[in-house]
Amino acid sequence: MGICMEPTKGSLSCVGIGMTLGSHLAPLARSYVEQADVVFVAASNKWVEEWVMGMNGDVRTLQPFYAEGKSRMETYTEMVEAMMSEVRSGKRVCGAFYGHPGIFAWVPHKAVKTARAEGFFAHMEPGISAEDCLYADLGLDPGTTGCQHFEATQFMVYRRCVDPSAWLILWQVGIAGDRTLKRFSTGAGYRDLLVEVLARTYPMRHEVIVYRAAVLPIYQPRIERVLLRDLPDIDLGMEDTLAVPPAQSLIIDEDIGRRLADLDNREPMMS
Amino acid sequence: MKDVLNILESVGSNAALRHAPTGSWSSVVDSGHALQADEVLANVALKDEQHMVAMVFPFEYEMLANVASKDERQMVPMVFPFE
Repeated sequence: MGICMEPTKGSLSCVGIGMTLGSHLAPLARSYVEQADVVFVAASNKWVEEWVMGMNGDVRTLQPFYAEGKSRMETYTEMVEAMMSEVRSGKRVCGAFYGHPGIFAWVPHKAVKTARAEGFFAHMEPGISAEDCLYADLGLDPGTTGCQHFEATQFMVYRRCVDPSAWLILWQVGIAGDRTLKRFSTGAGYRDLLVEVLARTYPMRHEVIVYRAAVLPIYQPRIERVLLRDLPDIDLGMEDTLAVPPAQSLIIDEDIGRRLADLDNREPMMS
Repeated sequence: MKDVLNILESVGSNAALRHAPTGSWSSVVDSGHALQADEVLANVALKDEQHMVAMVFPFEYEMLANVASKDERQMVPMVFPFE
């Protein structure tokens, strides 16, 4: 009797490799990388990329898809297609992305959705993100006052309700104001405008923090405190994040406080 | 190249190497090709990172200098597209 060999069905796993080389890669994510037939890697640093390349015999960098003047949407669509092409051919594909593959990462989400829509197994494995590093390095806990996160350009273009009693984290401030999806940086004029938007809520002398996680263990994180008014003069890269501390105390809602007290009286604690 | 990655991975994954500027570097130094462990440790203490790495593998100075050269080693970050 012959053995019935089913053709291998392709699959996709998008994993996070964390921010710092050697420090953040979880065992399961590493296993996905090592056991895949082909790995596509988007790393934060050439050393990180070479590190991942040492974990599997077929690791392909996603870097060549980038080009000056090319829309990032075109780049990202091509990345998804490159990964899906191997999935469709029956390969176990792993996408290894720096940080967390599901945070500020269009490609992994799109690839997982596409694979599932086409009937393939697809999985996302979390990693340690820049946000996680920020909490640790700046010593802030989002539970203390609350914490709001926005993509910097979206924050500028749309009217958002900012709570000045909570932390505000703006991601991708180095390209704040870029609506073309083609720039790799935006200049002081764009940041002037960002400061103008922030000044609707915060005093110009409010201290803000420019943050960048360490991608190599021999690096230190960037933690640079500046006044809001000085932000346009600061050198900012695509990896930098702006953390704005609360500018006012939490305000008690007296009405809700009274109603909670009523509930406390009516519904005594269960022992 | 592999030596550089090995040492970066060692520093990244070992708590003692990551944060302690004394003694612990000796094991990395001994397992690699480095000499002058005292000088390495001195540079760790001074936080002279580029020099520190160069001291660990002095025979590959130029390549190792690139570890700290962001221009040559940096990648294009995966920026979330504005919507």
